[in-house]
Amino acid sequence: MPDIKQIIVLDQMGHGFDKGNQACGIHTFKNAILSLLLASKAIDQSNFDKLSKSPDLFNTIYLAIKGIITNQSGDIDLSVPNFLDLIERFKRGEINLDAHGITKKMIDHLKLTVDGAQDITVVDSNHATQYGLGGEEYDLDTAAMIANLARRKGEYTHSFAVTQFYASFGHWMTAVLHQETTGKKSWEFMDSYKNQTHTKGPIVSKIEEVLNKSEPELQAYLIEAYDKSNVNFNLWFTEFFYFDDLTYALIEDATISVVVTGIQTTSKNIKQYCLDDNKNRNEIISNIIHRMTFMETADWLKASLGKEEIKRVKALYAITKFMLDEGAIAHIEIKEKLEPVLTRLAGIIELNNPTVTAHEGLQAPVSPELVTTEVIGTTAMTSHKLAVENAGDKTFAASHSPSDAKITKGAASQTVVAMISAVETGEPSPAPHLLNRLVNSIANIIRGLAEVVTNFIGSIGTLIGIK
Amino acid sequence: MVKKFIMHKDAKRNTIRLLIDLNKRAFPSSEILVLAENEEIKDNIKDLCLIMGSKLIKKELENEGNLFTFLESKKHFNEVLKAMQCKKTFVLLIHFAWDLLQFYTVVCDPKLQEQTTLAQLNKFLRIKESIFGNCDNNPFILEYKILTMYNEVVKLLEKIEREIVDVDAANIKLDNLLTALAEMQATAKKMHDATPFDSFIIYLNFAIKYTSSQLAEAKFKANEKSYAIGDKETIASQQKLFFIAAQEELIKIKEIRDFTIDTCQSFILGEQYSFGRPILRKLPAISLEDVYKHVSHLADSFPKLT
Repeated sequence: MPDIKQIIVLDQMGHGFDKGNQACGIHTFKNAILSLLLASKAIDQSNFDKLSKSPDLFNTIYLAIKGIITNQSGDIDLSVPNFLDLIERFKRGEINLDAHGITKKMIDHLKLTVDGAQDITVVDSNHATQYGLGGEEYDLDTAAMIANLARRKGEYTHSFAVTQFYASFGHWMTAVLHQETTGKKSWEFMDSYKNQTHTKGPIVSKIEEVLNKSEPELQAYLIEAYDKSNVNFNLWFTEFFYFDDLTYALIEDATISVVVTGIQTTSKNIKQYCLDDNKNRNEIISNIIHRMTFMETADWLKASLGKEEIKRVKALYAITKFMLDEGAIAHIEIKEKLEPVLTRLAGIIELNNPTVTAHEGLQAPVSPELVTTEVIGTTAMTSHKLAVENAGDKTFAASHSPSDAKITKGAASQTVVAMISAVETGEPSPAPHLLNRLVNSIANIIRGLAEVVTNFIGSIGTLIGIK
Repeated sequence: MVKKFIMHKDAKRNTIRLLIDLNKRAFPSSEILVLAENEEIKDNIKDLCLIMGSKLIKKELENEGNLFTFLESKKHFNEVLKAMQCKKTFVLLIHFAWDLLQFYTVVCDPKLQEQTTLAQLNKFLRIKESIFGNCDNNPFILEYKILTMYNEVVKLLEKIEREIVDVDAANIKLDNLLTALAEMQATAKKMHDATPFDSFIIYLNFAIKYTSSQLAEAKFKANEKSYAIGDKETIASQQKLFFIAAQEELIKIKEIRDFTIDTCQSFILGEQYSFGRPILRKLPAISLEDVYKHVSHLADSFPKLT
């Protein structure tokens, strides 16, 4: 069990913000920053104790954030992207805390730019088995950052802003990791909701699950995080793009039928889809840059990369090159933003394969395994993909359409038959209730008081009177 | 006028196949995020849950003699499901839908009623694993197992009290149950670590601790005559620890309930597993306060631990 100290902080209930507000994200923001200021010795312990319980400081931050996030009404809380954005704004001085003795100079010492070296990481459980594997775009940052910390030697302090989805809103808490020069770790935990303590163990253990991985385990974890986080990216590139097996060139004018899980079908030309549509184009540029940042933090941009890592570096290179080849002239932002990425990736590919330059003989980014496994919400059907599917076991989504309701053959067919039969014609048997006999205390039995509580029927309240 | 709820057969079957496929591939979260943007799929999953849940609610209410509250209960369950449809909690809905589908298939199997002991139930699930899939991480099934085990212990305890069971045989059975309970405890702990705010999982942890204390009582009763004073004190101390641990779980449920109310969350996380009905509904008393008083009373009956 990790060593975790609960720090008592300002309770979010009370202080004028207690009526239905979801302000725990803002409390977490405050507590995470204060912990870093304490660790950097910008404030001392007594200041920390005062500020972490100060309604005035909270109100200042609350009002400043309310001024920044204007698309929410009434009481507000933070989404993960909001939180990440606010960290950077804070660094730039957009949330002024001078009145509370927290100056811009103090903040300058903190690493708050989300670039893989920052002092705060947001972790979102997302019902994923491990932090960083939730499939959200920001999970890339989480995974790369925790892996980075797992590899980091020596003394450091790092704040984790932890969000657990909770009903349709959520709850935020702060976990602060202190690593000593010897590598020994200790934790502090803060929960603004009544300073409750019961979640600290599971949350810190889940972070430590990644921190305690061996190097090979970390490598596998990073690959998993990369693949899990990029469903849209895969759909746009590994699904929509089809590169010739020999030349690795894009098949010109490929038209893609996009089947959105049995609901609608549309046809798009690859170039139209990726370049002409403003929203798609900007999102693709941003995704490419984000993956580059991930690779940087995950230590993938170096020589002697593993087979799996280099495969993904090459895929990113191919996609970046496609965007530049096809769109740089018409869209200046593609040239400005993606040319440095392409150059960097080409250098890494060359480093890992010195006999072949990146521009020659680039491997196709699409492997059949990726094509067949990364399909469910949206399925792109190319002739290549169809061939792959016909050759092997289909996933449900790949074969899914409204008219395709028959029970399929294969490994899962018994399950399908049983489950459909249960839902359509089954009659559930009643599940057990606890038998109406409660537990006796052995102490009472020893004292000869046991039999009174057996065969208890009715209100337990009457039972409580028994002494 | 009551609006008739109909789910098209094809939609039903496709949704079942979708859930089977997602389970087979360990619920790929990024794909689930894509599904979360598809209104038709979201509605189909909710509707499928409502169909199964309604039948189970009806069965529960029939047994409780409360069938007149069926429409109200169903409406509340529908509200919980609707709240879970939002993007942030859709992944929860998917996991829940799979758990419910798997559980529903299990409880519709006519052979289930024949499995009256935990060992029989475990064997049944193992034999049918190729049909049901692995049920080890299903909270519904875990609850079913815990309650089956509790009832089994109570029946054995009654036999011990009536002296119609051999002490050695009783001890072997109790030791086997203790081993099985330890396995269930490890599963429940893992579930809690994954979702510490889930009140249903906390209730399962409570039920395990409460069953542990019942096991301790049975063990004590079986061996009362042969136990030395030291043995009696040891087992009594163990039981007290179970009561204290059970109390702690109830406090956690209360904290989550208070948090939900204080922060206006749309439903108590975990409530979906009781179909929006009280989480403790399968205990002789459903009020959290009453159950807490009961367990506290038991814990307080011991001399203070030093």
